Amino acid sequence: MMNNAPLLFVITLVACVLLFLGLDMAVMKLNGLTLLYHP
Amino acid sequence: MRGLLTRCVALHPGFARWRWALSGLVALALAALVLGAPGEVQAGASDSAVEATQPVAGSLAPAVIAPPELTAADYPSITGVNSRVTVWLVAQLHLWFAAFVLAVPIFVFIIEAIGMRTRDKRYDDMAYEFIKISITAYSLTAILGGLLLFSLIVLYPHLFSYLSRVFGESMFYYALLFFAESAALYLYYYGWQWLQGGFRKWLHLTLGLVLNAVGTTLMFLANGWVTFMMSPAGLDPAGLFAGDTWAAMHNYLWNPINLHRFIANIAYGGSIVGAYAAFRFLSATRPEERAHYDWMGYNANFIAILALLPLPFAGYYLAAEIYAYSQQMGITLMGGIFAWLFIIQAVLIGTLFLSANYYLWCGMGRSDGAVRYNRYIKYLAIAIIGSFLVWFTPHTLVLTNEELKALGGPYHKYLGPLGIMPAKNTAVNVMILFTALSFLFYRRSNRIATVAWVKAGNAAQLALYTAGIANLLFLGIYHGYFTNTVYKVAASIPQVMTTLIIIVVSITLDSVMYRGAREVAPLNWGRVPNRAQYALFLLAVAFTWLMGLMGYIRSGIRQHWHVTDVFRDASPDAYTPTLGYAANVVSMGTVLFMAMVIFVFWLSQVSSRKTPNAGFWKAH
Repeated sequence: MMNNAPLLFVITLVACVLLFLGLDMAVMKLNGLTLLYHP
Repeated sequence: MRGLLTRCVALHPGFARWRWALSGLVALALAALVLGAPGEVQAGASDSAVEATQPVAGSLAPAVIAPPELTAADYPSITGVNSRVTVWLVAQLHLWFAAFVLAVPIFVFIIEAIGMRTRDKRYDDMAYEFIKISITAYSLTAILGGLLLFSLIVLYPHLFSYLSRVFGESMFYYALLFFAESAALYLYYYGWQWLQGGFRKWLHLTLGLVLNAVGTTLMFLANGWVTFMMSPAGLDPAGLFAGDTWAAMHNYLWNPINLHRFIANIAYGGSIVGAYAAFRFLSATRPEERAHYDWMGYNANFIAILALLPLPFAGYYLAAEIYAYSQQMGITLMGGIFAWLFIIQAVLIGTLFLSANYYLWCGMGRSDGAVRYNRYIKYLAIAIIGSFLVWFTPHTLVLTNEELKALGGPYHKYLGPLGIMPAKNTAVNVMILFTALSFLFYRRSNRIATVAWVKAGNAAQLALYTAGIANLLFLGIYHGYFTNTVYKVAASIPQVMTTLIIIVVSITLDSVMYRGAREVAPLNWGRVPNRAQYALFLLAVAFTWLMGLMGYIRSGIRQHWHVTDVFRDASPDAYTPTLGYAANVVSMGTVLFMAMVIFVFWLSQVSSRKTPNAGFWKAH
């Protein structure tokens, strides 16, 4: 699996997307806000 | 470390004497500072410009200092001299040189430490050459500082009288500290060849540390005076100063300016030294000279880029604190009269990024192995130029009534949001990321990774960058178009963190991936086109102009106040000039500064020349 570059790309991409979304939600929550806008 | 010290003591029997003598000197200096410190600042009873309220009999309350109410007649003038432009130009020239002479010791210290660690003498020689350039610049800094002081005393005596009453103590220590700064700098430079090897080299490095500590303290003191004028503190609600100098110094904008100036100085110093290297490269006559100055220019560009990357965030923090202190000042800064100056700033910052990246791309030609990466450069250029276009899109437009009607309002429906911060933050983060990517390509240009997992590593790198850029675009587009101001401002923080995470992780991954890498084609130092050196000149000039512009903005947002909301500016020049006028003054200053810098560069060349003079001197 470690040598299958396309598969590793997809796995890392999904992992990074989830990581960054989690970061976004955590930071917005720290500011008393949500990730998606609620008027 | 301990082993080194005991070895050094064994090698240098005079060390014990040295230690006592040095300790004695330090103790004496400290005693002089503590015992000789002036008492509390007292308002002069005979000074009609400053009113001092008399303390109640028997109380321990100190005299308070009230700002004077002036008229235009209170400002002396010299025929043919515009007071405002004089102080503006002299202060800016002083600041340009001060930034340079404070920055150079920072990276000289680091380069000397790297040289000690790797035992590569090239680093030591380069560090020595850098500090040599700053010696002449140091004199010019002091001369301009003196000229600034005289200009303020002669042309704005009441303002200077007020500030020296509020900050008298710190000004006194500032002056004293120059003894320490000069001593440290001259010892550091003149003692370079003497303090070589073993313990002496560590002593020399410590001198560099002391030089940096004193220089940074000097900057922090002066920053306190200038930020007090913008965001005064330590005053009561009536605007009276009761003697708490620390409160006055430790005002709202002090630390944001300290941080921003510290980082910006490093970037600026790198760019000026890069210009020096470019100058010497272009005037080199021998291949070894070309190779040496090419290498120096690369290192200087690296220092400039490294400090340039976090700089937008430090600037954003400063602007956020200006807003937090005074919404009115913040809106004047970025939403009012000065807004278009930030478009000029955007153009200059884009120039800096393009110029720094162009230098890296040209530099890839030093190695034949870079040919395999050439095809990616156009995509890096497209991304950086695209970000640049967004970066300098304005928000408010100069429109005629017909244009206003055609547009359906003051802002374009889709391009309007490109003029506000979410789009700007996205653009600058993308520029920073692609600059880091340019650097990664440069690092790889002469090597091939030999680890078994190179394909997997590259896939991971690609995924990291793709996910990060997608996140930046999501945050910028969603919050820019579909949310309110609070969300827009908050969205900048996850964007910054995304960029920082990508840079740290990708550089770490790359370093591990290229451990034990095979050199595919050596780096030919000196084999770089001349136009790359002009990119280094552009970097230095753009940086200088940018600093001049930002200095004007920082000072100009005080508008008709010497000290915001406390001490009104009643001088004939108390108006905000047109953008064109301000730009012309900044340009004039930049030209003057560049002329002085070229003189400094030329001097460094001249000092090593010898003219054969047989027949001139008497024979013995």
